[in-house]
Amino acid sequence: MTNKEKYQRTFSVLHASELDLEETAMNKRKGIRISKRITAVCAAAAIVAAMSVGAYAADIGGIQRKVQIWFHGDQTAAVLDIQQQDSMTQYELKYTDENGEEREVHGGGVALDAFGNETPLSEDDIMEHISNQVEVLHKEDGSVWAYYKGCSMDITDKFDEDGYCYVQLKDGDDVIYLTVEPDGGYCTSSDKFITSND
Amino acid sequence: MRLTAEEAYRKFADNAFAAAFSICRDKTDADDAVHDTFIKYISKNMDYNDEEHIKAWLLRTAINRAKDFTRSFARKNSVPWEDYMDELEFAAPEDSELFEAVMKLPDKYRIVIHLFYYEEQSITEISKTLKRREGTVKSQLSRGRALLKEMLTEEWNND
Repeated sequence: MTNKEKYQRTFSVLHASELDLEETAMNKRKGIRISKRITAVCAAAAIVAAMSVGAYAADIGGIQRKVQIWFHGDQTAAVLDIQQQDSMTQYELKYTDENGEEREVHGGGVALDAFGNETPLSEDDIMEHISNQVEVLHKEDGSVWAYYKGCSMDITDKFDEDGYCYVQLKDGDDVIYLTVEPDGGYCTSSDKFITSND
Repeated sequence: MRLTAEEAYRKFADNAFAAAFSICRDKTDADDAVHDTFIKYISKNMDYNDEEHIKAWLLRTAINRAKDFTRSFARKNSVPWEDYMDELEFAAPEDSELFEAVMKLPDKYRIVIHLFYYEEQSITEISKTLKRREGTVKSQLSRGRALLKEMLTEEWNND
């Protein structure tokens, strides 16, 4: 038996769970997202936001407000709904993208202090997290773009021979040091270039 | 061309799950990655060249989503792969040894090994799927194989 045959026999035991695609598609039409995941946010670090399938909390009366967010370098109106709970805070951000499609971002979590204690994120923590997010987008045409607030940059040709890309993204006086790694992951810092090995 | 979501799920969900699992080594995260991938498939309504194109897109999307989860801080409830392994019904005892050896590989080698042996992707295809340079993929594949040989000795051929 070849290694390939052995490998394929071994990993053929892995199966995806059943997924009701009809219900998923219907929920999408209704604008409903089913709760599956909550992304915890460490207050000390920039974290990738929980896109798509996120936690959809029933509206139990939280803080809802209209906000302006940066989306791919443009200011976009969005509705932010924050639900404070005993142990954590969840948020839901709804906006319309450049193609006119309604999008939802869900996230939330806890802040960790220096002793590892967890407290629910404050409204300010969440606003800061949302407004300081960096996004790296690998487009279908092969180009790679980085977005930070009002700054958008085509970084396709800025990768070095080891597959790393180091760029500074500036929005006014705000500067973010972005490192994109060969596997597509990225790290950001407000004072120096860092990698996942740091 | 385009497959319905049901057709695409029936044909490729297990492939997407196995690829996502080889990234995150967690059943829940891998399922979530597949779920997200198919929501995106339904949402994007893209046109594809053929079924292989659809499969490649699904694999790439599931892999990227699984990577997001591994970077997330929300992995408190993750089940160790060793526990999940107990639920799997391997066809032969040596299969569980191979599974364990692969799970012990460093992340960067594991997915390359998976795409090469399970998906039968070439170096060039793996390079495109993972957005890594071909030279990098080649050396990672070579190093991954060497590590498997060290762990599995005679159960792993010199191919």
